Amino acid sequence: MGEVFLGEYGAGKSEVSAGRAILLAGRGLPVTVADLDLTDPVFRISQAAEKLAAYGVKVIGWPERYPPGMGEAGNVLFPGLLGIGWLSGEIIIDVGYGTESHRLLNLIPGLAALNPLFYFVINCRQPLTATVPGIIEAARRVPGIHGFVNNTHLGKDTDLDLIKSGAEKIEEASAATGIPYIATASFKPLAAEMEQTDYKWHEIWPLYGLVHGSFPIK
Amino acid sequence: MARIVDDDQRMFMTGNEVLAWAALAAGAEIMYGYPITPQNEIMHYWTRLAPRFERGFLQTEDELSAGFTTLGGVMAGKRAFSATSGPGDILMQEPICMAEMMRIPAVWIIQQRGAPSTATVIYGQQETRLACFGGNGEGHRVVYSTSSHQELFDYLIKAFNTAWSYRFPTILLGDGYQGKMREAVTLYNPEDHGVKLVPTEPFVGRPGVPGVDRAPAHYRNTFNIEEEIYEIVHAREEEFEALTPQIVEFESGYLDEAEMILIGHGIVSRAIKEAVKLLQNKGVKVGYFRPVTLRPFPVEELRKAVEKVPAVMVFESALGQLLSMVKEAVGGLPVKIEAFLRPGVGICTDEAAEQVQEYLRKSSMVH
Amino acid sequence: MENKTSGSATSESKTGFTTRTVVTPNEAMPKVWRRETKPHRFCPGCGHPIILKALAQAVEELDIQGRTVFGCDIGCSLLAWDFFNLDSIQTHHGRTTPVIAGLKRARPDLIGVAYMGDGGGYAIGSQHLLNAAMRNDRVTVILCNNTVYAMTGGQMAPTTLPTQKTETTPYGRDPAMTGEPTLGPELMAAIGRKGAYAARGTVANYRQLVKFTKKALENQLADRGFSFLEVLSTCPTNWRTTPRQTWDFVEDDMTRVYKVGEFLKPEDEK
Repeated sequence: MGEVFLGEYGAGKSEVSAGRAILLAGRGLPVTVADLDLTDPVFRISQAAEKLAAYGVKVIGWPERYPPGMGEAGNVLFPGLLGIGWLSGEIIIDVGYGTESHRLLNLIPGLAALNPLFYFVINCRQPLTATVPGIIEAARRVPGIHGFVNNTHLGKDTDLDLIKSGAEKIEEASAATGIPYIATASFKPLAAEMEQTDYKWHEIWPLYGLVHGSFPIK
Repeated sequence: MARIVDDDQRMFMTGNEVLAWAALAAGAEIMYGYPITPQNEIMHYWTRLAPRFERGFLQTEDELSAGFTTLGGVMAGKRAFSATSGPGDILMQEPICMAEMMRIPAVWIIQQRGAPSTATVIYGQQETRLACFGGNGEGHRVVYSTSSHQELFDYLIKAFNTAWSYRFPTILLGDGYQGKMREAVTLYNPEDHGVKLVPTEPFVGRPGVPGVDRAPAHYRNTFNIEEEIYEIVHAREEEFEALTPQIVEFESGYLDEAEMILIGHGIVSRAIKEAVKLLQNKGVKVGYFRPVTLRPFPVEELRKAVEKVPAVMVFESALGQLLSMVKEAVGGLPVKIEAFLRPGVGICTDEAAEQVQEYLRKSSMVH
Repeated sequence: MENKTSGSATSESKTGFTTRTVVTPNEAMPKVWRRETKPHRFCPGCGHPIILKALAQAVEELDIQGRTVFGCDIGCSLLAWDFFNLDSIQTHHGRTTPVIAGLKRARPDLIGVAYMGDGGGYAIGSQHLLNAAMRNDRVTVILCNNTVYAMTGGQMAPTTLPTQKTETTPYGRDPAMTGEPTLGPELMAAIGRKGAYAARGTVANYRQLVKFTKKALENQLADRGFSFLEVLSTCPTNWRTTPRQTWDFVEDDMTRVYKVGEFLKPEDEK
């Protein structure tokens, strides 16, 4: 099975991909993450490869500290990604932002064999997806979305009310588009609190902040 | 000008996106640009948003052209800007020099990257000197060095107002970290916060027939002899110095009884502020000083801050560019100047604190 | 990171993904290619290596490996900085033409090749290209036209086709706002002096590409004039295309705008 994570620039696709991978690996499934983010040499899920390895998750992408494109940009495709269509187990594909970035999947032969589900990650605290019409417009730019993932947050200023305000907008956008609202993602402590509430968060996907601290600062 | 948000909106986004929204909020009417990392997303978001807000964009053939087309846009009376980095910043210096001499209120965003490589697009503070003194002039420009997404938003709006108020080219100096990292920021319409946008006016193309209805506009940056330029450069310097108290900005803390003051600008100032808090909690008496404007430099303010301090330590992701400005500013004062210089590499809170403690330990052993 | 592997090796990469690197002397690989730097660093499906292979073959057939200096630009062409067993200089964006032109003036016995992308040649370095052509500098410029700024993430280039979506034309290129695609060889043919050569090849026709590359080098060898070769190339990464769509784009969409052939020959009357 394959799951593809798409969304606006900085919506949290990589962080959500990492959280989803850990969740699936925790169920005893073999999980591989494919780093198809061709935007930046930084803030990539492959920089969290070592941390993900601790959860039994494999990552395919440029090795950490190996700057693709000789550091000029992140925009060189890692050749190993061409083979992911033939891998077994759960394959999670983290796609970077960009004009028609969903079409990056054209680069992966054999993708159809994975029967991938396309998840659209939304942070309602981003200007372009801050309103219901904004979410609908952003989702329309990407054909074939199977589900929304709510990743509404304000970094360390996030609380349950804020996530809920995002959830309500996504519910509305879901009703208008017919695209199901699949899950709500949040950092682990808040995800634990969520479970205590009677609000319908759909599935809860805990996040671990693995990509967040991956800036190669030293 | 259309409002960009209904009311104040707390958002979580990358710095380059913040700058695209800030330019909209500042009433910028047209951007001229050329692709270069790490500022590309300013252009990407501007080109996405521009039609919605009826703003203009031109992708030029290079940064020289982007800089000079920006000057053309400003002289037509538009709030125009450009954004660049690294090698592009070098090419921008010729138009910035023209803007300095002709007092053209253009605005530039510079996202610094590691230098002088043609790649290394992630981060650096090695364009500090270039931003302040690039070109063959005397640095008659305003440079704001930001340290957070909120400052990117606030200071880009301010940069347009500074440029159009004082008619000096104005630069917002960021870096790749600020461009690419994500954090919370409040987007707002300037007028909701009592910020009035300074009106623009055209240099050329005003109503009426030149020579008939009005005097023709004649602008030049050509002078006959050096004695003539001598007069003009002196006059510029006097004007710039006279405006300095109105423009200059700095931030400082814990200066009283400090054994050492940490100095840094831009994103590095965040690390040193945190380091100072960390050390204060341990009972170590240290303070910080951060120039927000690098041009004009807060000379008087820095001298006042360090006059009773035995030592300062300058932190920067460059090999002594801020350091030389600090040395010049505090010249003649009996303060020891230490430095932690990391060209192209970031500085973390804990390593800044470690450097300071190490120095204080050694100096107490000497006494 | 240098790949110094030779022979066969299995390595555990940092990603935890086991890769088997097999580097065998391949008869199909031109001798001028530097085996130690293969596999190359371009994306899968990229046209650059085909152009570089044609160049290697031409250099080999003309037996000028010992006197050829290869210059490359910023953008994806920089990934060729250690591609060949040739003395090579990676310069700044758009500045490869003047660096090689300067080299040629100082050492006319050397064969100077300036390799660049469409952004480097037709945008930021366009004044150098025009003036080198007008001076009839005895250098060979090879320009890879893939319709985008690829390395910076797929922005509009001077060669972007009308309606093509890029990061700075998210709603499609509108020629009314940004002009029509730049026609380089046609321009070079118009301004070129007697003895100059201007052609457009394509990675879709390798034999012809080798022929054009050889002519562009021979013209310099014969000291006749400036030589310019544009090559239609592929960029599936930024076009976001499948292999079939990639070929369709280069063979149909691009050749509708960009005619393949020779536009100026050294023997032409000017």
